[in-house]
Amino acid sequence: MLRGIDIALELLGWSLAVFFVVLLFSGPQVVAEDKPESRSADAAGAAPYAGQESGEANGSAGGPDGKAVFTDTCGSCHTLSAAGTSGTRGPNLDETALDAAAIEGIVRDGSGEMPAFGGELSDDEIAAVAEFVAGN
Amino acid sequence: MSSTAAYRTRDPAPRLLAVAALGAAVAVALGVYGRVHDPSQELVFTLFFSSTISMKVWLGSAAVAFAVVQVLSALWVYGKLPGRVPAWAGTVHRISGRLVFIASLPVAYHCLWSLGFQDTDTRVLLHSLLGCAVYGAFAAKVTIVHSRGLPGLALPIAGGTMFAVLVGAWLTSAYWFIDNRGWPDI
Repeated sequence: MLRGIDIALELLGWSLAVFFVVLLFSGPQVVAEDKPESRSADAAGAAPYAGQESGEANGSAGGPDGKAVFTDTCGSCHTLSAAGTSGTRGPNLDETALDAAAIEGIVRDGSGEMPAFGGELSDDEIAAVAEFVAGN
Repeated sequence: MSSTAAYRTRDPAPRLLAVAALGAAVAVALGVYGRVHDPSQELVFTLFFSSTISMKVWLGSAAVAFAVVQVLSALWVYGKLPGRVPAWAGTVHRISGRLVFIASLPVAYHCLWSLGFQDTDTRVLLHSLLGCAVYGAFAAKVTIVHSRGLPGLALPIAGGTMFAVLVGAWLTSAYWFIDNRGWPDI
């Protein structure tokens, strides 16, 4: 029994490894070529945080959901009524007067105690969350 | 002299260096790919998780959990833990290792293709370096497993190195996320 599982996992592991290596080199062609269509049609499967919240001005249409990104990533440290968060570690964003571009820069590069999220969030996610915060 | 005996008496240093060079080459190749590849910033899949970050945190943590099982089972097989070693201990060791590899692949793929090799701050740079080193250590370890005539310590050292590097990669990513924002919803 265990021996069978071992053999099956060995095959699965190497097959997946080959699949991902192939995808590393062909992925942009396979996946991104039809990005405009897939972004909206396959949002639930492909775009981050999509499908969690919708219907409000939560970010760019068809792209990441700014409100969901905020709730998941920023809410534990920041208060923002529109997202229903009450974090107190960072500034209260109900009181911010920054525009989306300035917020994008802070999210991407960090500021003071706030860590940089450039390595954690995609450009689309950063843009969506900045737009959401600036608009609320 | 039998062929096996001849194998054992050969100087293992060149083969050890070759194994180390192979591991280094794999790690460097991944780093170079991550550096020269234009990060897509797009997501291919989230599997059955609610978001990519959720997938990466949970699968990365699962990989570390399986790695702990692998280390413990290795200690058992090597007689470093009390109790009689059951016949299935070796198979459990191999299965846990395969699960580490399988759980890590979607995470590594997303890191490399979507985000690339980044150095925006110390943590991100460390994670990029350690993430590439995980697969270098893995390549070296697998090569040692399938090699004959290498010193007995080679495998434990390779396994220990891979475990340490994997835990380092996890600490600078999934653990950092959990520490700052808690466990993400699945």
